[in-house]
Amino acid sequence: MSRPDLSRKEHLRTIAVAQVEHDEPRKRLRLQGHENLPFVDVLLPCCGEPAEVIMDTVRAACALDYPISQFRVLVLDDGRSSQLQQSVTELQSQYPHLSYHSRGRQSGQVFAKSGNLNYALTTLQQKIEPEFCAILDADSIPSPDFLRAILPHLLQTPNSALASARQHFSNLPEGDPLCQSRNHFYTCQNADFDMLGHAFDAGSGAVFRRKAIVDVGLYPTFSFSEDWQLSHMLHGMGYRTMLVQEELQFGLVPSSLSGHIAQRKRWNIGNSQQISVLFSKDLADIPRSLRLRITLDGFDFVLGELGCFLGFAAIPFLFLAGEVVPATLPPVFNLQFVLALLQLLSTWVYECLQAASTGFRSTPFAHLENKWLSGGKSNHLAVTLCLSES
Amino acid sequence: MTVVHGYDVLELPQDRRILRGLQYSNPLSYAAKAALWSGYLYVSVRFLSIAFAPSWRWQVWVMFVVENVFLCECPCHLHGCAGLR
Repeated sequence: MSRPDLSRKEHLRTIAVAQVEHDEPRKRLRLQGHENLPFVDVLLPCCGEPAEVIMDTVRAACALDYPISQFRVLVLDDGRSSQLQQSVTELQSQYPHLSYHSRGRQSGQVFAKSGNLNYALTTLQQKIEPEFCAILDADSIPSPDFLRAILPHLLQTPNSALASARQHFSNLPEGDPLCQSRNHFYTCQNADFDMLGHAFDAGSGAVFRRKAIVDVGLYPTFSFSEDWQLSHMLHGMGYRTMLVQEELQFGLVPSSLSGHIAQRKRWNIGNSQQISVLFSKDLADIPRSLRLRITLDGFDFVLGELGCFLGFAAIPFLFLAGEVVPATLPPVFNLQFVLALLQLLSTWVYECLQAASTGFRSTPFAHLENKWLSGGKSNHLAVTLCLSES
Repeated sequence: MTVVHGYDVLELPQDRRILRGLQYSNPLSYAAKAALWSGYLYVSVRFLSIAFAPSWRWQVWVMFVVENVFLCECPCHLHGCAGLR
């Protein structure tokens, strides 16, 4: 009985989407021509990744199907790697619109990626202010039509700030046992949020209006999950954010269980750091209503993980404890039984229909794919919250 | 080909899987409402049966809390969930 109730957030989101008037899913568009296209800076933040991995991304970014005169590729190296700098310098003869930048060795600095991106937005773009910027992770290789596929969505929606491409991965293990493809998140959750105009940026493969990011105060530095928090900030300031479901970028997933857990740990800590937003004097410039929204979202996340862990842990003890259903009149008991079955059945129907609505790109109950990590997540969150208070 | 703010934009054919999934949108919405309201009814009846039971046992209340831990929706999520006002 308890497990189907974990679908409640899914039910609420589905109902919200049904209330919005929309005729068709997001179109597949391609920007045509070579003259007078918007100027774009492609930003590649990196810090310590293997140089050969970064250079694969750099070459793909330089070879985008877009006029060379209308975009730049900026490698933003917080690791201050001489090998990477040399490799980029050698490639500049072939791609003159490529450049290497570093603000000095920043390894170990907190919120380094946000700072790195903000450094590009404020320092490197003083002479040339592009209309749009694209962010690519060090291991995310873009398809040649990456810019031509994403830019039209921003151009045709005046109040849009950001459009992100779904992440695809080139090293997924067969069967994807750890659900690292995040199919459900992209095909159901974020697709629904896109319908509602509030898609979440998942990090790599985002293209944004530079003016909008500057308007909301640049990339937030209060959380490890700067992409997620940026989405909150943009939503709160009235901007529309979008998700493009096409195969436009290919990254790498952690190749080990410990790497997968470490990645999830980082994301969870990033979400838990939202709680401090309302109480932080450094963030007083952010409107109070937006800070409250971000904080409550953080609380919701933390309570959800803790509750899930404690709930699962309590069940075996409860069944050993004896009577867990009160003695009551048979008709009342029967009514509860029928309602429980009805709820269980309707949840199963919902989950199957949801999978079908994605063209079976997702599976029933896929949103529970990482609930087995709730124990570890709760431990990480508790440690993080205790350390932050001390 | 369409013109968007002075730029030529070509529309490509849609992903067939997405098009096939559109027919399930309405049934999905109805299934979501059915699941939601059956859950509300269940919790209400459950609470009343516990509250008016001849005797109270802590195990029963803990079980109810555990069920609602999974069911509980923080009100802030409704505000944060886009589209729900």
